Amino acid sequence: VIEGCPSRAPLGASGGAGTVCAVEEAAGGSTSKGPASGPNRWGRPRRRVPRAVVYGLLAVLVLAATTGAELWPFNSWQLFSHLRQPRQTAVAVVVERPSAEERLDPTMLWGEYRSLGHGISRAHGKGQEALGELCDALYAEVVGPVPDATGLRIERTTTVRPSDPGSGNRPRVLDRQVLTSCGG
Amino acid sequence: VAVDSAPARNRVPSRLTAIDRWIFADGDPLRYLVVRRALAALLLVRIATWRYHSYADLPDELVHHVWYWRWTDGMPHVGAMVALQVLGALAALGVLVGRRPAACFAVAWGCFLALAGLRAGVGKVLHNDAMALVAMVPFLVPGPARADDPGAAGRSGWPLRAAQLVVVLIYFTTGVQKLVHSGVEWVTSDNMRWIMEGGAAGARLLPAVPEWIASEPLLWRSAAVALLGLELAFPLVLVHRWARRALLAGVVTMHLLTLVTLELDYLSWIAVDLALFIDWVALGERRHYIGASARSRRAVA
Repeated sequence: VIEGCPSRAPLGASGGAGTVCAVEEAAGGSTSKGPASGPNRWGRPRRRVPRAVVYGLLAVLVLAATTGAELWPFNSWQLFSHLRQPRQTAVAVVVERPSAEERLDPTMLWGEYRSLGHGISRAHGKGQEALGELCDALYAEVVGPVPDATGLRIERTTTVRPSDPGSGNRPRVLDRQVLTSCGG
Repeated sequence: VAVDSAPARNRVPSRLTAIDRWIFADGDPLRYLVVRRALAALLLVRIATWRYHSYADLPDELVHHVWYWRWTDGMPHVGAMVALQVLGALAALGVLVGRRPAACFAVAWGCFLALAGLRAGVGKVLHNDAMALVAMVPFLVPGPARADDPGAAGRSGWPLRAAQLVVVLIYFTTGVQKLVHSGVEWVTSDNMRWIMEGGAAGARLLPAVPEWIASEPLLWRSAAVALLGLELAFPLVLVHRWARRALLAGVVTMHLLTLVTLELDYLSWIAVDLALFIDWVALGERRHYIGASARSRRAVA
């Protein structure tokens, strides 16, 4: 045990800060490295692990925010960052039945799941083959709760909302495009 | 120039030093323990009450995992999800009852990270629980187990202040991102009206509320100004007591309105804000729920 170190053997030198020893913190026995004199150059107790955690955490937070890197839960924190427009495009799955057609409500199949639109858009981005595979997978799920389903259609609809607030606010369909279909 | 620039050069390091001193100053061990328990209670609620298992049957084609789940293609088996929920809930309970709180907190946080990551892997980037997860990171470093632990003050201040800094940065970043991607048009255009219209179209419970806001220009314009103002001004929460009260009331109202109008659940943001920025110990003492003499003796496991 060297002079100035309350306990433990010396661990080595670091960055010209002098002899470094293991200091058992009075607080509960966790061990940290620190110079024999204890405080750092600002006169505060050295807390290397806490400092590494805090500055590392802040660095990753800033890095993810500025570069757009999605290291979830670290992300770029874009909450409604992009302007919403009256003209919007949405994708939907339509279940074809002999009696009627209806939009597929994903919560009917998977409880809390409400991101079907994102799943379809992602598959569409990968290409027609991926979209066809998704359609088949969805149809296989749908025929359970809807046994008379004859087919499935994935379509993209472009709507525009009226600019006059007094006009009922119902969006008007501008365009409807079938992206793929499957089933029966 | 040389004479003038020298103090300017010194100003930056001295401010950084001041921030470092602020973060790593001693803290109130009792407050640390209260905050850790509050965060554990949040973990318990989020882990135990959300139906993660409803994702178990999702087709692989709809799953796009976050980075730490990419070792598997689809959703894990429902049994694994339930096991994570049970383990996480028990660990959070362990923190609340004071059984190995540091280890239990880390286990509960890990389970929540795994479960919330599954939820985030099915669509767009989810922010509902992201802030809570990030803000809890400083509390993963073992702190004092009891208020009267030797050296507890030195280990009680920095986790709370680091978490506060994280939350401030997150709110501020959300505001800055709006300006970066949309500019002042985020406020001056009809943007908020279309957000409300979209909320009304997708609402299941109270579509009349976003419809009403969308129909009143004064309301949606005010909401846009208030929302962006709150996010950009949130760093003031660290500066002044009155600013803290106003900003906390503002963001809590904002998140509640988001829940009502858009049915987006930011309740964990509210819980984190209230846990971190309100000194519940001082409040308890002022209301005489915690006696001064009891405080010095009190050992909270």
